[in-house]
Amino acid sequence: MATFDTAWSIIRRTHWDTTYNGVNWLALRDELRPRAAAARTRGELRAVLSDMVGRLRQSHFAVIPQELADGVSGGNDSGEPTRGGGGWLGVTYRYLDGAMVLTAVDSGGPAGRAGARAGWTLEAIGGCPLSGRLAGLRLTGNSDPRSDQRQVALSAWQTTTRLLDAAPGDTLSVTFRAPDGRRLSPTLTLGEPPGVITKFGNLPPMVAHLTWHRVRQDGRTIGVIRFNTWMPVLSSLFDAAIDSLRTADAIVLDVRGNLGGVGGMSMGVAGHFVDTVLALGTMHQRGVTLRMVTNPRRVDTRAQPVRPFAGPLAIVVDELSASTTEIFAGGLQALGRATVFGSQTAGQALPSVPERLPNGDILYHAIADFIGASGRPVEGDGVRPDHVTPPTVRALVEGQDPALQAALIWAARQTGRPPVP
Amino acid sequence: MRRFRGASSLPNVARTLAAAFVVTVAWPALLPAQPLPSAADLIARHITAIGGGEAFKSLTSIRQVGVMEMPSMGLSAQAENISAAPNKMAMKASIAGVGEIVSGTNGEVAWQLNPLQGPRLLEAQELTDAREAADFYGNLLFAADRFSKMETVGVTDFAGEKAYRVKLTRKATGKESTQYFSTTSGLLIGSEATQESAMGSTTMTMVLTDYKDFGGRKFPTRSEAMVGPNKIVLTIRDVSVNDVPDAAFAVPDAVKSLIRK
Repeated sequence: MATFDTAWSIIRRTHWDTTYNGVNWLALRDELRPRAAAARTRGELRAVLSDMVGRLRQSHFAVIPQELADGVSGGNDSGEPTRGGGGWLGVTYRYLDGAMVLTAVDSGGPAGRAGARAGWTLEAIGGCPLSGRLAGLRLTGNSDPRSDQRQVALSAWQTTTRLLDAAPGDTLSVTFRAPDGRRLSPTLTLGEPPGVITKFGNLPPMVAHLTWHRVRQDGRTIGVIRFNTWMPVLSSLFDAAIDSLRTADAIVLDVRGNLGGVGGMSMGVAGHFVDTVLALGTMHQRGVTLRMVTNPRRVDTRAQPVRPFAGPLAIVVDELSASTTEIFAGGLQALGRATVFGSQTAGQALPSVPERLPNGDILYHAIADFIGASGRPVEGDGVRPDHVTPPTVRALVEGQDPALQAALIWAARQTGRPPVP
Repeated sequence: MRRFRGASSLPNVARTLAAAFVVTVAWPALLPAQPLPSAADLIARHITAIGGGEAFKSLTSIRQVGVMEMPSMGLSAQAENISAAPNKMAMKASIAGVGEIVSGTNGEVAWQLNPLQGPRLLEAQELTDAREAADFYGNLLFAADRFSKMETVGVTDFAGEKAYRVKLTRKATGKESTQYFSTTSGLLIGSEATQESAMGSTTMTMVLTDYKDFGGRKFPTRSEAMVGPNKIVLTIRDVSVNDVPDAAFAVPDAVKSLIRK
């Protein structure tokens, strides 16, 4: 009962909205406490806790099992942080037209070497068809059908990712289907993922990676930076990427699939692109209102004075760009500093903390509302691209990346650098 | 934290007044009607309780090492606070997976170095706050000179203890703060202050406990800072004095580049 009572009390004390999004929080305790008292296993208690936080119908409320948070699953007895799996197939995938479609395939990765290609459908995992699970996803969240669609896409991605989760070296049978109907059913040996395993506080261990390169487009040089999470371990890498790309004509940030991370990092990263202190938005906690402000980066990694990057900036997002990614992209878009390409983002942007419960599980709970620089809440709405460029199966099969290509073309055509705020 | 750092007025005056009212009603049997001690007397009593003014006048620097925790995040940092006469101060916190967060002032400029956000020079009220906090002797030993107004405004419950509530007004800036002194031990047990930062203004409540003796001087070895629903706990493991070299307060290279010539 201590775990249930603690979780209930934490939300009662820290939720920024004293109406609890319309939920009678006292009555909910009375309703659920007997179920918590009757729970005989951790799983049963987690179900009650999940029910409790789910009633809020807001993002960033979840119960993270202790074994996942501490990274001790998968038979690791050493106590060292490990992921529950995290093996690498060398593919990215998104929910597209009711199926899970490969949006990128690394030719050197396990799936690529087996012959899978972008635009193909991920049809079955471990011999079990994926279609049934995807069809079984029910719409949740608020009544906005666009939000629901994004919720389904996120749920589909999470479901698929869980099914594919295995440790490096493990084998997994997967069935891919090409657009012409051909099927491929290799047994793949998962590889080591690119990037570094990082653990931040009570959050589960995760793989963080950041890459950058230069692209020539219409006679201009465009720097492209991709990163999958806002984890502190990537901060110095981002700084190095900017140092490397200062002479580029424009920069494109590809944050598709970046589900968020440490919010404070967005202030430092945004500071590479503005020369004044500007608010990306405002956090409204109970009794505290804080602005997420940029810190203009006027020093490079060698402690030499520089100006923040003043060239055109494009940000590429999709429905799996969430939380800190939305704070960042939406903030720079509203400030007129960035042009956004891709698909509308997840609309899940509530500042939150992962707090340890008495039974060792983690209560992940939002502690603030976030109002974007546009003056509107980001939760629910997300970031709407200036140029909507979603992927299509046909484009993927033809080797195209509509969102990234649109961003590159736009960036190359910005002949006059706009004033940097 | 161990000195009278610029604390300030409460954000929720109504709540404070309500607490004071309860105290007024409930305490006559415990504290016979008598005039409240003056703020100057309370400060003097605190100084006596921590070792006496002469013991602190003999200091030129203080180093405190310990652990800083943010329980709601599951984060823990190795922390070091150093300060030196007349107005230098620096803090370093090393967090696994994040790196080293540094802040400090040499009495002229003040800075923050944060791996997440890069180097930053403090300006305006932030700079003023940093300089005031770094006033090595003044805040403790020369309070009457630093504050234009020091007033004991009542007795209240603070962090589970009966405490005199003292309101202070900075002479230089007019900034108000509130300090709490234990009615039994005389020790400073907490404060409330408005903290300025680039992100905005917040009210921080500090609770100081577990005073321990280090070479004849007492320092609080546990402080809990509450900013809204967020708690930061600093546990001091060791205190040493007069061993901090001046170089420890040198402006970091990344910050030097930010200083306008």
